[in-house]
Formats: sequence, structure tokens, C-alpha cells
Amino acid sequence: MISQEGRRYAERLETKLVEFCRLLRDAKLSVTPSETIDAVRAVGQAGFSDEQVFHDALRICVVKRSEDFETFEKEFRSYWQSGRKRAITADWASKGRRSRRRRADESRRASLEKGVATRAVSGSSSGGTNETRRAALGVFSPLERTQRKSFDGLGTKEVPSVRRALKRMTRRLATNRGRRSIASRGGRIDLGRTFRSALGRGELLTVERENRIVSRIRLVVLCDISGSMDGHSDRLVKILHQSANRIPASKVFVFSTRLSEIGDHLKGRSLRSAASEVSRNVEIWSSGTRIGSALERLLDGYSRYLGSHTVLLIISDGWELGELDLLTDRMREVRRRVSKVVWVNPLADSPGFEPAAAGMKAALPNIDFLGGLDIFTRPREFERVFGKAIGPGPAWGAGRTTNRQGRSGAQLLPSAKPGSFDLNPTIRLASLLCEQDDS
Amino acid sequence: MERLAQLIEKRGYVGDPEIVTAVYLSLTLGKPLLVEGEPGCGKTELAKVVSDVRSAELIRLQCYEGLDARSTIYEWDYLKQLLKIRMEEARAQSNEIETEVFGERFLLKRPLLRAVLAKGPNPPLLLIDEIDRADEEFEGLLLEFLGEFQVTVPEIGTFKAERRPIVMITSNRTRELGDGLRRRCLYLYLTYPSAEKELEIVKRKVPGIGDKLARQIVEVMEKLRKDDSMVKKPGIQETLDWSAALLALGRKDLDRVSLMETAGCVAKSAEDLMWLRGGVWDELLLETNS
Repeated sequence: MISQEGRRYAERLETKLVEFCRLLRDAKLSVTPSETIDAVRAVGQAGFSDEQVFHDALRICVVKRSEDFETFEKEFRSYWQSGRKRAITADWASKGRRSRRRRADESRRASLEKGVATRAVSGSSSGGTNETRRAALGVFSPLERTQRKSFDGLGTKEVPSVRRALKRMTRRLATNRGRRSIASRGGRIDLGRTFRSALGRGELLTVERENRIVSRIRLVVLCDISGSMDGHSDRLVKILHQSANRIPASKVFVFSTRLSEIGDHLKGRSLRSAASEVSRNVEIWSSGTRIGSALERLLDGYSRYLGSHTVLLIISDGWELGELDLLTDRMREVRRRVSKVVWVNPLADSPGFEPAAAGMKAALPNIDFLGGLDIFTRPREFERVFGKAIGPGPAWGAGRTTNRQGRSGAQLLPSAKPGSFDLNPTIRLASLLCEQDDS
Repeated sequence: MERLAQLIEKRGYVGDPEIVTAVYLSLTLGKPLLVEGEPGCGKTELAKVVSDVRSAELIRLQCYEGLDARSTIYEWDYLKQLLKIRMEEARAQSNEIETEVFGERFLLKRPLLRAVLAKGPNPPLLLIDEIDRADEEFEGLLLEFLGEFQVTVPEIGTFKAERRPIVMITSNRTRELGDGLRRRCLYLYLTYPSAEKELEIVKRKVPGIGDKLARQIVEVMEKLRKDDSMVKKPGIQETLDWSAALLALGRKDLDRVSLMETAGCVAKSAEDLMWLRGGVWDELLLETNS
């Protein structure tokens, strides 16, 4: 019996193994899918309670020529043993300790949960002493490759255009009217003001009308910082920084294998200090891409940010390593929850771009706008992508929607000439309201 | 896996943990294990030990150039068939003679078919030894066999293995093997054991040898293997032979005389022998004793 947690570990390990095999393939080793399958099965059989065994099992299954051993060793070291392995080892180990304690308290249930990490993936029946458990988790930890990014030499060029584009985008995409209203020529009758103005003049001369204001949108940025996006990280950090600081109520996330909210590292800081803060705190740069599970995390943990006023901006090249079904499913769910989904794909800047990456294809049906990173720097590109997105005409958000012809939110009643006196303004008003209903 | 390691060690096979992992995976995943390495580093021995551990019948197919389906899968026993026909003719009962002479009785089972048909309590271990000596056509034949573990005899029908035999393939790398074969196998590369491991092997396999002598032998062997001027490098078998020889001669220590006398245990070609006797021995002796 394997608990859900265990299954998740196993799935993650599988993904990591597949990713590792792909890396080897990139390093010109002949690793076919059949070898990848063997590797996954072998680790399942041999377990990974011992790093050496884990290493040997992988090599036995994947490398079929002794000439390739060197390449394998290099890739193995950089993939499974890089980064801040030790710190995370401690983290996992403490988790293991916690579950051991639980076992002492409640005998059976906890005992199922304990051993999960080893048993689920290794399938071996050995219970494992404290020492092996720690080792097991220690080897498991580097599965999530942790890496930081330095932003030395980050210039402030492009920042103004990024800001402009973000502002224009959020305004363009704001289409939902909120509850607050503002005087306007058309729209529904503003009873309060109509009465007040009639009172002041002693007769009902004009009918004041109002319109609901288009409320601002909340921008949620989901930025891919996996290895394939490395070439764009300077631009990305500018976009993230501007989103966090210049767009009110925005939320900023980065993801690769995990999702993490980084708004707090960006807000109220200069671009440079924000960048160094991010590089100090975010450890998942240049890892694999799992858009599906990032969306899942977003839906599970941050659903309060998602609503009819939310525009979700996803910046990713769509090279999904996770399950495509999950991605399709989560994209559909996200699209249902938010107002608009904008996908910015750096690859789309190159001419002849077609959304061919598997992740991109899976997400495509649920994307409203797809553009390249150039939309942030080239107004023409911005227009091309968002040109059709025409927001509501006169009412733009509070404050900006006042009618430029002064008080012309009011409308003169056809029969009401100045000086004439209407005995029963209430009746006139009622008839006006009926007329409104008919139209 | 720990149990397997213990069992292997108990049979006197001293090896790296990687070897145990490879054997374990080959057994659990049901995949053939391709073992490559220098000659004499214990590849065939490993197969023997594994068959012993699993109490599996060891079916060995020694490869050589020109190996074909006849000598690897099956062959009709023509002599017997002829004899049978003659006998039946004499008795004038030639009605069902055709079906009879193409029965299993007249089939000479070669290793691959034997592996398929093996009836023992455990699946047999099929050792395809030194596959690099066979030609590529045989490799192609093997691919098909390793995929399905079945053999078709047109006159009788198809035999399919009830239990997958354990398959181990060894190669000395005299010829590059095809990718197809490699892909179907797990891969283990054996090197010469480290000095400590070799010492352990010597002590186990040649009981009664003195500690000092064993140490000296292993040391000399290691140096010889590092030297590229030898045509045929000595393997573990040579180490053991040499140790046994020195023990038989009652030597407790390596000296010039015993070295000269027993050089034939170590060098297996005329060039090497000349090279050894032409001064290298003395150098080695000097280094070892210092």
C-alpha cells in the first residue's frame, strides 16, 4: 500500500529520470526510450537507498558502451549531485524524523506513511534503519535541481517600454464592469442624481444617466524560469519587476519544477536590488519545465487571486516536461476561472514561429492572446497581438472616465423646455423607466 | 539484493557492488546482461557463479566464427533418421514414417533450443560466451531469439520458453557489437579488480598461500597490467595459476629464480616471455622488494 505522498515522490522521480535520460541524449549518448523505461524500472527494483547502487543501476541500464562512461559520470554528477543538495537533504531528513515520531504515537497508520519514500519508489521490502532512510532521502533530494541565477550586468534599458506595454496591456484587457458607476451619456438612469437635479430646479428637466465603471484587472504573472528560458532571464526579471511594482494588485510567480511567489522580493525595490534579492532567494532557475503542475499549484494554493477580474500572463516557451494531460486539464480550469489568458512565448519572436512544442499545443485552445517577448519592447508587435482586444469605449477605470464635455452625462428631456413646468415629474420619470425597460 | 551479494560472495566471487546490482537487475527485469571487459577479468566465472546461486542449469554457447543456426538452435539427426527409415522399410511399415522421423526424438537440440525447452525447477542460465568471435549474422539471429525466446521448427511447430531463461552474454571487445544487441541488454563493464580485491581472490582460490607471497604476486601483476608493452595482458586466471605454481614449488617469497622458472604462467606469448626475461623481471623484483 502506497500513500499518496509516496506516489507523488515516485512520479517526481520518474519525471526526473526521464529528464536525465534526455540530458544524456543531448550529450550525444544513444539513449532510446527503451533504455529510459529500463532505468525507471531498475530504480524501482534496486531502490535508491544507496547512492552508489542508484548510480550503478542507472549506468547499467542506460550506458551500453564503456566509452560513454565518462560522459555519463559527468552528467550524473552535474544532474544528481549539483546545487544545494546538503541543505535539502537535511530538510528531507527532518521530514523523515517527523514521520518516525508519528509512528511511535499512532502505530499503524503512521507506519504506512513512514517508509513511503523508500518503499514507494524502491518497491523493496526492507524497512530501512534511520541511517538508510536518511541516505534514501538524501539521494532523493537532488532530484529537484536547485540552482540560482545571478543578474550581474543587468541594464535598465527597455524598462520604460516594458512598463508601458504592461500598462497598456492591463488596460486593454480590462473588460469587466465593476459595481461603481460614473456619469455618462448612455447607460442606465441614475435616479439619485436625476432627483437631486430636479429638486434643485423644482422640475424634472434632465435625466441623468450613469454607466458602470470598468474595474481594473488583477494581473497574475506566471513566469517560466526553466533551463530553456535562460537566454531571456534579464528581460524576464524586468518584466516581473515592473509587473510587481507598476501594476496595482498584481501577483508575480515563477516556476520551473516548483511554483513560487516572488512578489515580496520585487516590490518596493529598485530593479537591481530586486534582481539580487531574487537571485538570492529563488533556487529553481534552470530546472525542468512543469507548467501543468505549476498551474495546479496555482489553482490549489492561490485560487484567491483568480477571478473574473484576473488576467493571467504566462511567460513560457511551452517545452513541457510534465504530463500533457495535466497541462491541458489545468489550462482549461484556469481559463474558466480568469478573464483572459495571455501567453508570451519568447520563441514567437522569430519569424515563422508555430506553436509546435507539445506544451504549447496542449495549452493553445485555452489561450486568448499569444505573442512573443517583443510585445514588451515593440509597440507594433503589441498592437498586432492586442489590436483586436478593444476594451470598453468611454469608461476606463476610475478617474479617467469623466466626460470631456463637462456635465454632459445629463440628457435633456425631449419635452422639457426651460421655463415650462411639469406637474407630475414622478409620472414622467416612471414612464421613462418603462421606456428604458423596453429598449 | 543484499542476499544476492552474500550468496555471490559465498561462492568465492569477489567483486564490486556494481556487479551485484547488474546481476540483480538482470534477474528482476528479465533482461539479458551483456558483460564486457578485458580478457581474464572474470566474465565467464560470473556466469558460473550466478547459475550456481540460482541453482540454474548452465547452458553454454561458446561462440566462434562461422557459428550458424544449425549449431546454435537445432539440427536434425540425419543419421538416426536414415537408420529409422531403413528399419521401417525393412519392416514394410512406411505409412507414417514421415511424421515419425520428424519428431522431437530426431532433433539434436543446440544451446538456444535447450534453453527454451529446459524443464528444471529453475529457469536455466544461458551463457553466450565471447560473442565478439561470432559474426554479425549470428548477432542478428540472436536478436530475434532474445526478443521472443521462442524457436520455430517448421516440421514440428514453435517452442516457446515457459520461463524466460537468464541470459548472460560476454564479449572481449575484439569486435564492436551492434547497437541492436546492446539496446536489448543491460550493460556491465568489468575491469581488472583492484589490488586489494585481487589479493582477496588469490587467498580464497589458492588456500595455503602465504600473505607475503600473495601480496608480492598481486603487486607484480598490477604493474604488468599497467605496462602497455605486453601483447597479452595477464588476467586473474594467470594470477591464480602463478600463485598455485609458486605454492606448489614451495616458495615463500618471490625471488629471481622462481620468477624465471614460472614466467610461463604469466606470459602467454613468445614476445611477452622474451620481454619479461629480458630484464623486466629484475626491475619488477627490485621494485617489489624495496
